[in-house]
Amino acid sequence: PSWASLNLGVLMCIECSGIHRNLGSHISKVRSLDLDEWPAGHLSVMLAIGNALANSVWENRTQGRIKPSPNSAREEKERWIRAKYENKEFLPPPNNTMPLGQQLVDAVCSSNIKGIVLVLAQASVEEVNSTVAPRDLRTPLHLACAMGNLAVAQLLIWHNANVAAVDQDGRTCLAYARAAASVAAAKSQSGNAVSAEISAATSRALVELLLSNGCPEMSCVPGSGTLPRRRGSQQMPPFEKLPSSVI
Amino acid sequence: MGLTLSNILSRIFGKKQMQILMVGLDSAGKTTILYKLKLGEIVTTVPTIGFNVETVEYKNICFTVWDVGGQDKIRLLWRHYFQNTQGLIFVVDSSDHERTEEAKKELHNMLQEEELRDVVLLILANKQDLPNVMSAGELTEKLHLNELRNRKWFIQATCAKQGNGLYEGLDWLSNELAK
Repeated sequence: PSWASLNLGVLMCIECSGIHRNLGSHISKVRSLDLDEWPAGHLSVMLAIGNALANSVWENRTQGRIKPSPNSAREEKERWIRAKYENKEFLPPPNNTMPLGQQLVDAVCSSNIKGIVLVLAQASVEEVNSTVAPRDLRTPLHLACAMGNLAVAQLLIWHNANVAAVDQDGRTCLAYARAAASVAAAKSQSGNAVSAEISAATSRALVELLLSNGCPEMSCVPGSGTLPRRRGSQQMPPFEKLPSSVI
Repeated sequence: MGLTLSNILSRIFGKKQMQILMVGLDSAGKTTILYKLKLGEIVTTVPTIGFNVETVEYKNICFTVWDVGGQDKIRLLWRHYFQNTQGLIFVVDSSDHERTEEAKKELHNMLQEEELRDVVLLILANKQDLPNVMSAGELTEKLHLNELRNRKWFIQATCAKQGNGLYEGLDWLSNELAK
């Protein structure tokens, strides 16, 4: 296949891409593998999800319905695609043991992509932006940024994560991403492992992603008491210990 | 008398011609608009890799509409359709907040071209039926339309699926042509 849905993380044929485009870009963002540019964020989501993982979520319970084959009529394919992604008929039964926001926080912390895909399929904007705890105001996007997880950050942004959210100390997602980038850069300089290089490049791409989505460097929330004290430390990356404190 | 040949012909035969180029980012709805105008119905589309061209008659004007694919790497081909274009239709997916910046850049880049100096510009703020869409006013701002100089332009909210707004757009184009 040479077509893809960016946010669903799946590949498809051109005929199905036409059907996906009819769903609207809020459900499926269609791009060509050949004819479109693929920035690092888009690529990372595709590599993280893929058809097998996506279908394990979106086609978890097909309840005896037969999936159309490549030779099926277009109408039949369209019915399937709409049932699957628009009406979400085949998702697994909801897990009511924990609020969705909390499930998202857990899945992001453990980089559980399948869990993230499943929660995002059901979560409201409020749940996507829920905080870790009443006194820990980091959002799932803060956590993904702290971990330098480009794919998860990109997915959250597509699901209306608030890029301007600040934690209890007024720190933005960009501050977390910059800290993760500086740690990754230091690691790639000290060792020469390829994986360290990649994670440094990934976290740089994450900073770029946040900037292009208008994430502020610093909070400008009036009355945020901790802000004035932080101004002096702006030069230094203030959160070197961050990755270990994420979980 | 200053009448051009096409004017004379159109006086004799009663029909004016207008060459229209329709572009915009991929998935904006260009092909759906073209065939809604041509056939009055919604056709099933796949991404346009080359172009589609149809003539649409409306109010005694024969519009020749070129609909050119909008994927990133084939936008370079738009320029090959600039020659003889009198009207430019730029279609925007009003529900795609993420890509208005990209649309703005493509639009303003294109309008730099000498060949498009005299064309009139119709922006169609399409997909108004989807949730959480930007209005024509919001898109005017986001696309920096008020920064356009020496350009006749008009923005029309549309929903190609229902056909809303399409003929209002053609009305504007035909009025501009009559001037």
